[in-house]
Amino acid sequence: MEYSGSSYCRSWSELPGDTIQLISEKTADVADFVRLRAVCSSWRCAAQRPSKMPTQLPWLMLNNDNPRSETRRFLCPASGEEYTLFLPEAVACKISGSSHGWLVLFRLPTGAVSLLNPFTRVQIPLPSLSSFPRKLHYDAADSEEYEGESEDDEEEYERKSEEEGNFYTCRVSLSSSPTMSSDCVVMAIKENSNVFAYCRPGDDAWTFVQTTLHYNIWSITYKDGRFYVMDFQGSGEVRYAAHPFTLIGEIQRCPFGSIPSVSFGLIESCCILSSDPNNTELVMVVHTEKLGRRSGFQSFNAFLLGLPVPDPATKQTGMRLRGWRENESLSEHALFWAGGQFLTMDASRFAGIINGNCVYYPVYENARYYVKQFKPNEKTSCRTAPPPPREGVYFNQLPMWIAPTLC
Amino acid sequence: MSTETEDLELRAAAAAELLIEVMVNEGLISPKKRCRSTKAVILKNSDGAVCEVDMTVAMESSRIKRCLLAGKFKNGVIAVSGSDTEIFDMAIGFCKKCVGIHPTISWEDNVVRDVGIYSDDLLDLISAANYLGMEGLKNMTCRKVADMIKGLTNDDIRELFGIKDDLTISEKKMIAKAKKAEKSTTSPFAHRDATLS
Repeated sequence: MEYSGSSYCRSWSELPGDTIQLISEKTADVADFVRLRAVCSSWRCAAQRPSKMPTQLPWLMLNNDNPRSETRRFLCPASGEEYTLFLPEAVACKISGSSHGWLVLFRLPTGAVSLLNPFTRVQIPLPSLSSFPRKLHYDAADSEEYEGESEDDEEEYERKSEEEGNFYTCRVSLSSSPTMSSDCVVMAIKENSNVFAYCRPGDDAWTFVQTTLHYNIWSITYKDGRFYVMDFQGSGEVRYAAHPFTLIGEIQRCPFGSIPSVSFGLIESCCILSSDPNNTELVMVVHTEKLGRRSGFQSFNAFLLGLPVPDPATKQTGMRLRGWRENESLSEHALFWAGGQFLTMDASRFAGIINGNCVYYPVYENARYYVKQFKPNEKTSCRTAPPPPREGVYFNQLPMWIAPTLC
Repeated sequence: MSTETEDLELRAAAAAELLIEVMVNEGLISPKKRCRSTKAVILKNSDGAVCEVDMTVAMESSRIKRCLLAGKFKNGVIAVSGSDTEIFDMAIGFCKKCVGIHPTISWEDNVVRDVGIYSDDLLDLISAANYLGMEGLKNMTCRKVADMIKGLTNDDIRELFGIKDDLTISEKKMIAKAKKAEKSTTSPFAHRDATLS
């Protein structure tokens, strides 16, 4: 008996869909995957988003001068190539953060917030932040709350324009990828405030949480149903991530003062990172920069704090987290810093290209971007580099790292 | 010439092979202690070329396996259509190599060299792998294609595979464009120290 009907293809464009999908899964690089989809229409239809993808080295999204532009430029540092991605969703938006491969977009005048994956162009809407109070600060010393309520027309106008500017001073971060994780929390902090807001994709509104920190919130992270919030003096608190946001405990003040040349005016940013789930530690990285007329210095200092394993059965309060360790090595973690945000990566996967216990930081000189490598806990002197071109205060968008993901 | 009884025996032997395979996968038989069936299967090409292989080798192809189990053959000869002799030999050669082996990437590279998989034959080989239902060969050939297109621009890919560009203008507009930075020397990750010299 013979078989009839072979599935032999006469040309590469006639390859069956599942074969093309298999080829696309074998491409380990995001750039290759994107190009594969652009070869011809049959390949484009067949190569769908992979369900998992090997971790990629982060790309650098370059600063954008034209807010009306439909494209954004990216630099892939591993290969040195510059890519222009077509992103009409980002027109007239400010990109205020990048987390787990997603960009956070703010759009005037509605204050609409959304998450955008620039490689797949999937957009996830979030509730509008127009209700974020202009200034809300609770001071234990004099219990007076400012809410920025106005009575005059002129004041109203000022308040409105300040409010619009408010969106652009928000920093938003994610706890995990919204598509890959079931417990994704989006957190927003605004300058000059000790209130933060959070929501989950699909919520109708942001939830505001009042903290009792004396100073303004500088960074926040979420882990296992708890928020860890730090102010810029280095103190922090831990709260449950559910109403009524009971205070679980306090975080001992981080000893910034031990960094020889730090005075608080010089700290440019500090962020909390969550280490991997098996190794529960808070990592606070403090970036200090002093740029003089001809020379200056930069340093990144790492402080680590061990976290006790949370016991979901018992409701904890009154916990005190102590024991910051300074000048610790980050072992195999590499940090990518730009635009006030950090991104971590396991450097052992990219041996030979990046090293563990290093901070990678973009610098703009000679009209292009370079990535410099810093060792944490070492002060390095450098010549002052000219800042990248900027365009007005609202659309000022600094370069930022993004870990490409197609999932 | 085999008789009907011998065909039945062949079919039973195929069923036994399948059972043994299941038992090995379940951990009931150690793979090392497994005896290979010495029953031979004759595969006939549409060109008329014939090839005699051991049953365990032939069962690497899921299509041939189904044929054997369903009894869709006569006189011990299974017909496989559509490929020319060279490709067919390559596919069978691959089957012989991968009997009882768990493929790793370095093993695959060796086979690519031994069996001689080059880009001219790659399309035919992928088709053969699809038709005969050989997962291992499919994985290997697709990985080879992925390696070949690594780092190439779209025009290069089209030229390499002879594909016509049939995307509409609006589709093209939506695609990421890659252009090399004007004066890209080395990768920016080339560990420049923070102290400028």
